[in-house]
Amino acid sequence: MWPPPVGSSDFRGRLRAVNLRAVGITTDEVRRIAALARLRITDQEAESLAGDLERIVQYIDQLAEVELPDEADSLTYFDQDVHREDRRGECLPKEDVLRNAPETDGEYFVVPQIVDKDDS
Amino acid sequence: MTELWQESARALAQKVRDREVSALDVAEAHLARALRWNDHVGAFLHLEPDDVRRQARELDRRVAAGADLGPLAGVPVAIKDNMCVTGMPTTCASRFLEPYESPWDAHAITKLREADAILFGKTNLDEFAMGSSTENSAFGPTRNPYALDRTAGGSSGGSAAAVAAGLVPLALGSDTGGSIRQPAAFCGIVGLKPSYGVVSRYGLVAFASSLDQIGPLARDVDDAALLLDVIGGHDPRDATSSVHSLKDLNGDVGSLRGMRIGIPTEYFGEGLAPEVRAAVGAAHATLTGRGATVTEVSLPLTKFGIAVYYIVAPSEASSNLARYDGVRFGTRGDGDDVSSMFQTSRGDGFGPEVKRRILLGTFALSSGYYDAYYGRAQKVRAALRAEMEAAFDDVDVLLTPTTPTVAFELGEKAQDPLAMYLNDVLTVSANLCGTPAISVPCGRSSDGMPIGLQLIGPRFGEASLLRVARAYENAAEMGYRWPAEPGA
Repeated sequence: MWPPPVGSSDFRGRLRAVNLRAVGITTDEVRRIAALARLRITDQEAESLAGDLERIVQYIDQLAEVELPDEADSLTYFDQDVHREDRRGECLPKEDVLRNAPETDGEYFVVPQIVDKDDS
Repeated sequence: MTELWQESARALAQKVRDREVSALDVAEAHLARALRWNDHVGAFLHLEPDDVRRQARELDRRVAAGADLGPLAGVPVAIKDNMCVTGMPTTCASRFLEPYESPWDAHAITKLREADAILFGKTNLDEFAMGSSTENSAFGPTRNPYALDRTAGGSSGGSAAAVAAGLVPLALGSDTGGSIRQPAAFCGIVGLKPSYGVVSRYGLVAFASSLDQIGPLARDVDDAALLLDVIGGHDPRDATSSVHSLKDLNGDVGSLRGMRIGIPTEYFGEGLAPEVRAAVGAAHATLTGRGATVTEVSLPLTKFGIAVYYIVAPSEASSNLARYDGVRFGTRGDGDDVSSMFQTSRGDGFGPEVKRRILLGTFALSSGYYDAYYGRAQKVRAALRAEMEAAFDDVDVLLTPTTPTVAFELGEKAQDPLAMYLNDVLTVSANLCGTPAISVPCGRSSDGMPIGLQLIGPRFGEASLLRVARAYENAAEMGYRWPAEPGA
């Protein structure tokens, strides 16, 4: 039979917001997540990201509707044995490793001070 | 007369092997066209004519010396700029990696070099392959060769536009949720996402590791099969690279008698443009004419694909992109201490969509939300995979549209992330299930824009997928329609 009838359900899933879990994504929440992700964002970005994430999370909340058995599988793709013996291999030359770094002293990557002087 | 830039990769390699043309002739023909077109379409981020000529001359010296030549002898291949190539920048279309030059070749690049291909240049993409329109590139969008005010698709938009306009006969793309197939459909060419594990991702900049796969873009099915044959195969440097080897990729165009094709009704629901529906409907008749049997199947979880994808992919991305900290490579921001240096490096270096996905992923994985989001998505993903595997008990290949609509206008969805995400609704399932899928041109809309059909096979079912695609292409006799010269 062709063409199949236009489905009663939209294949894009439910587009209207149905906030099942009522997770409100506030600008403070966005700032908290950004700090976890080590990502500096401006106040303006926090504002617009809060709106975007709220809408996206409301959309993905429809997964709560899927009926699954209590002991449902979680997927894993490693369906082959990937273990091997630990053996010595070739490494990149040091100059190649350091070539792309923003700052080095020729031997090491250089970063701003991590440990307070008082702690040493 | 057929110009060199119009030839297939197969024909070009044969001509170079037969010494009918030199590799330099082939390179010059494509360079002339690429340099003329690139200002209009923005397909290439890196194109260095002298480097292309140097590779071609080197190959010509080997031809003259009577060397055995590889299957892609002298064939220019464009590379999506998220794959590492020594001697070229690897930017991922991100300000963060603007100064980066990889010290190693990706596995797929090593294979191209071994096959005597010419590495032609690096193509534009959405930053870190996150997007469906190439508008998220930090270096400007790619335009559709058939309508310069429309998207070429994404994220492999540069590769698709380059192949469609004849700047190269072949290109590599990567596909995490449709990023090879959707731009192929929008640009009227063939794009193949192989089964998960078929092509090593060593040297592919990681986005979502349980989904990412490298694959070919070409103007016909045989060229796509040829490139897949070159880049596929086991590589111990990628733990997910399969030991399963694909066979019979280059079969003949025979009858499809005995081939069972399934039409998943859920892929033809509301939201599908009538012209796309009609073109895929005509393809169904073409395949039946070749002897295939067509039956309807049902995949009711399809509509949850986008929701699953937009938890799984950003979660994996938030983890993969933790490496961009301004220490070992890339851009470094200001900061008195190391933590604030990380934050400014990332804040300055990443564009808006990358930030959005990192935050979405960090949220989905964060304490208190993990079970409700990431854990739940993994379970639905497993159910989706089981549902699709069950469908392949009854049919050999699924036939669907590749995209709900033809290429949309630049800017049309750029301000609405969710609308952009929903554009991937017909392609994400193949990534979530690890199955191969191919987009093949199946007609044009009334305003001349390409329409693609998608064939999805069972995991490692590339041979039968290509057999159906080839039979369709042959029976449909569409021919290749070149885009009008820009500015003409």
